[in-house]
Amino acid sequence: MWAFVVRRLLTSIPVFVAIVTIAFAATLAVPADPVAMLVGEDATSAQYERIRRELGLDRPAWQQWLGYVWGTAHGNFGYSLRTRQPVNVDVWRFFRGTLELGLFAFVIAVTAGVPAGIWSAVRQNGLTDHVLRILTLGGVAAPVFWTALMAQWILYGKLGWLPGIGQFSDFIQFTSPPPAITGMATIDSLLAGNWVALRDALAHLVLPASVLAYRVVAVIARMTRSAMLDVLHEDYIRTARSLGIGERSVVLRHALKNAGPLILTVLGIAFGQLLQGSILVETVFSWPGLGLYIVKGIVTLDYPVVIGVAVVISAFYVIVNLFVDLLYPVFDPRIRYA
Amino acid sequence: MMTRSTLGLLTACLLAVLVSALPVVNAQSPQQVWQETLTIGAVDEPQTFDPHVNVTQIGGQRLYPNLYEGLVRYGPDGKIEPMLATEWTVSRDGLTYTFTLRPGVRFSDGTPFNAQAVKFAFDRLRAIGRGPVNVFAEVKAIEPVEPNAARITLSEPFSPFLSALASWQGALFLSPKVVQDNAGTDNAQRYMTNHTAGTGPYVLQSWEPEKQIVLVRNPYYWGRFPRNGVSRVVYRTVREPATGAQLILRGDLDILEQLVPEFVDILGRTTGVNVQTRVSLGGSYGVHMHFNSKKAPFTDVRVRQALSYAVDYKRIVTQVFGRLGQQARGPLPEEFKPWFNDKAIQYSQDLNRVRALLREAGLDGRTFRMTLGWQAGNRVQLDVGQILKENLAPFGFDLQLQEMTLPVWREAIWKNTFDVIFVQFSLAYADPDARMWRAYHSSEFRNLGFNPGWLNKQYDELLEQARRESRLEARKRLYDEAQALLTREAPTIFLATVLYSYAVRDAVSGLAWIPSYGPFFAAAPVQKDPAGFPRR
Repeated sequence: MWAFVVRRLLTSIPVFVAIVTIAFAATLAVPADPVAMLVGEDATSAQYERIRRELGLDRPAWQQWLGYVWGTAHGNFGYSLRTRQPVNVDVWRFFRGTLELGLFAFVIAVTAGVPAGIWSAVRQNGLTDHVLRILTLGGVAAPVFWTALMAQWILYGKLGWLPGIGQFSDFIQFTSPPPAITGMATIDSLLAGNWVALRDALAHLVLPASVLAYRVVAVIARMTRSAMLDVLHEDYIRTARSLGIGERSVVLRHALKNAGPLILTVLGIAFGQLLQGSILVETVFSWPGLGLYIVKGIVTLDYPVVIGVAVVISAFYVIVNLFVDLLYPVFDPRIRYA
Repeated sequence: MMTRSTLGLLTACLLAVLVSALPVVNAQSPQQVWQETLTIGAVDEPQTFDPHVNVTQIGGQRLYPNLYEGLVRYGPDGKIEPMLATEWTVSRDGLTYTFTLRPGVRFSDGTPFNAQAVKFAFDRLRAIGRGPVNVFAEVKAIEPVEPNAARITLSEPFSPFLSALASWQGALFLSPKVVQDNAGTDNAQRYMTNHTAGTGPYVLQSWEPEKQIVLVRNPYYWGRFPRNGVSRVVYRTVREPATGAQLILRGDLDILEQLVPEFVDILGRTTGVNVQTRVSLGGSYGVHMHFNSKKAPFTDVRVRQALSYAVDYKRIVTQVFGRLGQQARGPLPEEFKPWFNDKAIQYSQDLNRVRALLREAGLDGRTFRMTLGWQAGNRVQLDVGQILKENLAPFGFDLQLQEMTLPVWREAIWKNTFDVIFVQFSLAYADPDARMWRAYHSSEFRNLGFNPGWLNKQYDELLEQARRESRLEARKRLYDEAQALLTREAPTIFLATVLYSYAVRDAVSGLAWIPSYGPFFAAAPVQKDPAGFPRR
């Protein structure tokens, strides 16, 4: 199995080089100049040239490209042209926001989507099936921006049941904030045993995580449904029933286990999607994550940021996919890695 | 059936939730935290907190006056008042300014503010070569004068100097010790991006990008706080206007900056919220459209005048700006007294004149296809652009609206590649020189400049003379003539000047508005009424 892992990681290397190249080429292709934004309106040509040299932007393109590839290989994405802070630090900070939001959204999406899919499959073409399909379809059809604003308006603006933005209320933030161990509000509160802060953090998470989850619930539910339907029509299911095994056991133990690999693949893709961050959800709930960070980097032509985030997101896709592949044998002993 | 471990886990969670619902024994109550914190909703963030590097208006609004201060400041009527300097004299030839410095002032790290610190600030500004360095390009030398004064010598007379010093660009003074202790390899630029060391009433405690900026009281501040003043200022980044509106409605924000026209009425009708619509010279007050005067057919002044007559100004003002705008007359806002020239030409829609002028220019019947660049995300410009498109189409001018991100927009101007393009005017300092020089002096037609391709010797001479001239009446005459010339030559369609709208909760008092600055919410004098604590 380890050979499999190593082989997979080695074949990812050309993928990363390609990512860096594409991201770099894309930012180069935009017909504008990041330095002009940084030097201000009154700068003279001499000042402009100086800043350009300081930022290393006067080197030929291939040299800059090589610098980025080399840096990426060492996990060093350089310094943001705009903020002068190391990109690694910034990426990690924004990624924590995306990770926390993504994790909770994933939990919500799986908790809602998988049972919905199973139920739909078991009650195929019944009323439950249709209702669930329409509901989950809303997540894919409705623009996430609209869903976010609606959820915020109804549950915060009108009813005041949940907080509007941010991770903590002012009161918790300024009187008893949990120590910044992981940088994720809920985890830090949990680790510090600060239950009040934990409740506050969870309350702040509910809206943005649910909105984010709504997008992928449909996909998870539908794939679960179709995977379950495939399996439920197999002969061995008929055998199990005829042996007198209870329906619940048939569905949850026998059918689900066999549908496992397919569902797992979808979950992996969904998780990867959630980890990309969503600039629209982040904007509405003021929850800074990779979405906001990379869009800001793109608009201001901050090459190190764009490349850094592109690589980090790709890395997560690779890792998640690898993880999913490694989990297959748990569900299907027929799959083995030599 | 649930396994025992699952049951155990659920019980643990339930207990945790119950425990957290118990009242907390805490040093402060939510009401106390609310009362000592001023929360401001912002639509954008600064690039840096280093006053020698920052070039953005939004950065200036954060730096001044809560964090950094200048030698002088503007009063509510626009007159120059003391701040870090208590009095000053100007030599007859306009080259030497002597400032008596305020005694007992310290930076937030305890270092005393004195003439050496003044010199240090200007030296660092020049060494780094960024930020407002070119505004103070004429500063030649700074020397300390006993007992506690600084003498600044200019290389050339520059009448707007005091005004520049009073603006946010003059809030340059930081602790030499902090800079030297954290110099690193770039003269402390990296450190000062997210740390402050000024004389202002507050200090930057933390900046979480795209989330919030937290300021706390400067322990060495030379001024006074009211008894129940705010000891903490939080700028919350709220980019979505609908979210901002809800936050201030529910009391989670005390101030909401830069209201979009749609929300002005809605918030104005709400109890507990006060909407203010004010003249702001320091904020962005003008929306205009530049012609590229170097590109045919706009090289001909008659064509520019013709199109200036084609625009339905009334419709633009009422439809897009509502109560917030009025038609512009030249580059300066009407409220900018005494400099505004109310005799300058103000165009109005006159379709016959359009045709006559186009015929004169020999363009009758020709069609032109051109791009109108508008700044990305600026809905106002998009709306105005669509009206302009309709206005100009009947005369053969087909405008294609093109959205441009800021770097692209910027480059289109200084590379002079645009056809027509939107601009927003603001005053970096409250002197007509600030806008009229930057936008139209021929030296600004260059790499990184803002001149849209209109070069006029007569205009240049007027502005250069006005910079050297120190008497008010003489300067006024020169700028009047310059405005008249500008509106006659029409290198720009001057569309509208707009007021700045913001919302404040009723519980907030002590917030002053200085038109020369605009939305610079000085928090030091602010108090919050405990009765205004939002009940859930």
